Amino acid sequence: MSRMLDETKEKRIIERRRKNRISKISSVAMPILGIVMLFLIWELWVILGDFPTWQISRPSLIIRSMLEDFELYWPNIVRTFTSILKGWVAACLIGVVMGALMANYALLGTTLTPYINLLCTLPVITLVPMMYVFMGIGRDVIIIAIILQSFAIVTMNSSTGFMNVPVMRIELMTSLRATKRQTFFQCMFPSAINNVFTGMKLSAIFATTTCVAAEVNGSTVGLGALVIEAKTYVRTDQMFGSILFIAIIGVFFYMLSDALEAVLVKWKE
Amino acid sequence: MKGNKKWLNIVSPVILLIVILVCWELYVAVSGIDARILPAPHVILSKLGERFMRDLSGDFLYTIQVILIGYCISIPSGILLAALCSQSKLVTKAITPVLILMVVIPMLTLVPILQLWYGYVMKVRIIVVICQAVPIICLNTLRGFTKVETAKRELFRSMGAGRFKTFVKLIFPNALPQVFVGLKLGCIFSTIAAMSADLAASNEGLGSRISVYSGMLMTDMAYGTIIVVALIGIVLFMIVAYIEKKVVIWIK
Amino acid sequence: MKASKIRTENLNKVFHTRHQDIYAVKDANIDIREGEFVSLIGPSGCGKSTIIRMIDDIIKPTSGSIYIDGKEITSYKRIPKEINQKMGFIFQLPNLFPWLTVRENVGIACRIYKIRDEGTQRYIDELLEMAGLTEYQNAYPAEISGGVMQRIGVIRAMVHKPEILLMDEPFGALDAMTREKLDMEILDIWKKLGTTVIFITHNVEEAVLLSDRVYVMGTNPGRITREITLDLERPRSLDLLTERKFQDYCAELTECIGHVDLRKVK
Repeated sequence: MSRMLDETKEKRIIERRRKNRISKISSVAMPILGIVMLFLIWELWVILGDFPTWQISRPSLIIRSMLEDFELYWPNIVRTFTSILKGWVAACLIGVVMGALMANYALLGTTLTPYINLLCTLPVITLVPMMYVFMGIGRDVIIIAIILQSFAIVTMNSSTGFMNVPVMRIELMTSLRATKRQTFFQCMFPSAINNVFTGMKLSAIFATTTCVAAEVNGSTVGLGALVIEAKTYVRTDQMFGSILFIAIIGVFFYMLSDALEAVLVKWKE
Repeated sequence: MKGNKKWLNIVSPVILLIVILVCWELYVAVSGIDARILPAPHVILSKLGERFMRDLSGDFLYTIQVILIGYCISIPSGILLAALCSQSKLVTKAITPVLILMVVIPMLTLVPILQLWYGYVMKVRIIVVICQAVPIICLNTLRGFTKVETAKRELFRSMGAGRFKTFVKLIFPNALPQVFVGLKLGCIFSTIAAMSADLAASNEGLGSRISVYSGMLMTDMAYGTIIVVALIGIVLFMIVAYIEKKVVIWIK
Repeated sequence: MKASKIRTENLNKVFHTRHQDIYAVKDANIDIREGEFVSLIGPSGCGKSTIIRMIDDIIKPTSGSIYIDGKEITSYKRIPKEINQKMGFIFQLPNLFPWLTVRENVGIACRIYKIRDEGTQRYIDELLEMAGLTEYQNAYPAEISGGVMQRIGVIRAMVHKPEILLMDEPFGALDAMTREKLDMEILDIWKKLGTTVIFITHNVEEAVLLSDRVYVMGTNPGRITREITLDLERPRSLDLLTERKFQDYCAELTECIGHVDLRKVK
């Protein structure tokens, strides 16, 4: 009986490993293929449409600019990247902590929930012009704007996750007379981790768009600012180049959350 | 009694709001801070009430149209796109980064280009809204369409249902919760996109107004307009949430 | 007569919902002696799961008292650790944490109660061996089957050597063969360890097979309607299922439960 179980267990494991390998390869290959297709279509469209260079650039020229003028891009890339990184990490931490508090202390949860929902829907970008007026043109505005726009979605998703832990699991912790702290870290948090990561992924998108919009509207450094500068000098290829670098950064943070999730969450619910 | 609890759910956020407003008023009164930096709430609200019909109503209608038209076009487009892509696992994987790319690109940098093509029309901003909302709706809907339990799929296959029937009767209803997540996020992105477009195009629309007021240090009106925008966003969100509650009745 | 291990006095639990108040448990009086194996049987909604949870301090009673080893626990906001550690709870479903291995799941009481000695680790080895799970100890719950998982749930409750085992329909979700096997194993464990057991089931045969006494419960409101002492020899075996005396008891209890269903007592 035991041998039969072992055989089927082994077969299951081998089949799963094969599927995982195929899945992993196509996860990397297909997105690249998708982007390549997009660029080809774009290139053809510009060539066939015979658009003037100041209106829209061909991908081939854009990529050339991205490679040749790299020294121009690099400090701006670093600037935007680090701004988003700081803002996003802070937003995730604040978001998870708030979600945890709101889930564990019912009164806090009911009081704050409408405000968290409000913050999710509020376009922080509208506050940015005023923030620049008070705090001056500088990095602080950008990072604060990122945090404001990004933390609410993490809070919302995390607290939903924490509040939807199966009751029986909490009962197990209660039957072992676990403290609130033990219950949270050993039961609620691992149960809700998928929700936390979903929140983080969404906030990565918010963080990128907010950072760039804030830079466009008032900064002198950063990829958003570079876009405006390139526009002024009618260097459309550099404009699009900056846009592509922004997109790469955005996708990077999104994929980073995915990768972190894959590394940390090795189990199946 | 549970009845009491429900009452508390509504009352405590309101109490918090009152506390915040009172503290704000007191702070402004006591610290004597310049009204141009931080105006008192009553000033904001009274100015808003005064000047709404005269100054803001035009922009208000403009922005609402942009958001609603853009959002309403995005919903079927996003869902349809996701429906088509979900038919192939490979296409799903290929298109996900493309969609993320689309959301993340600062649409406001394409606003000048679009304006060169179409002129200074509402269409430009609607396109911006669509460009931000469609990918997000599509991404979430796609996730809903592709995560169907094998047991259910097998059931439909065993009954001889074709692709289309399986989609309509199984995949779509199963994905509805995820679809609504996408719709809620879509409405958030629509509002944000409309504001970003306004800031870049600066002519009509509430976003442009905020920019103008900020620049002229008419902070009270700026705050007032932001409140109007926030209200639009949250009302739209609540409408979608309400529809969700009515439609997705099997989720608690 | 052995000492009273668990005693409830006029235990009540009312759940307040939007539409009505649900009397889950009304005036329950239970007295369980040390080392006894007692079953609570009844239809769904008769409050048996609620009672057992009130004893283990998972739910707070609305009124009434609970005494463990003669000490009243209902006045505490949270019962003291020493008393809590006397009890082990086994759930209806395996209720394992998917992010922990089998061994880590079994040893979860050690983590919470902060038991760190070598002896306990050896005891865990013993328990795993007894349940036939030694080879699975480093696997994750996603990789094993339901019957195996429920075994893990059972030995998990035993790790901290509790004097009382509270079992909430532990084998209800399993097939008949596995259930019979595990029933016998539970009797073995009970005999070896001398624990006091409260066993909840809706299966009359299982209750008669395993217990010394049976409390019958009814719904609307949830309350105890009968108490029957089973005069059957120990050790029990599956052969008992065909004996006359056994079947008489089953018929008596089934009638009890059936009776209760038809009456609508406020």
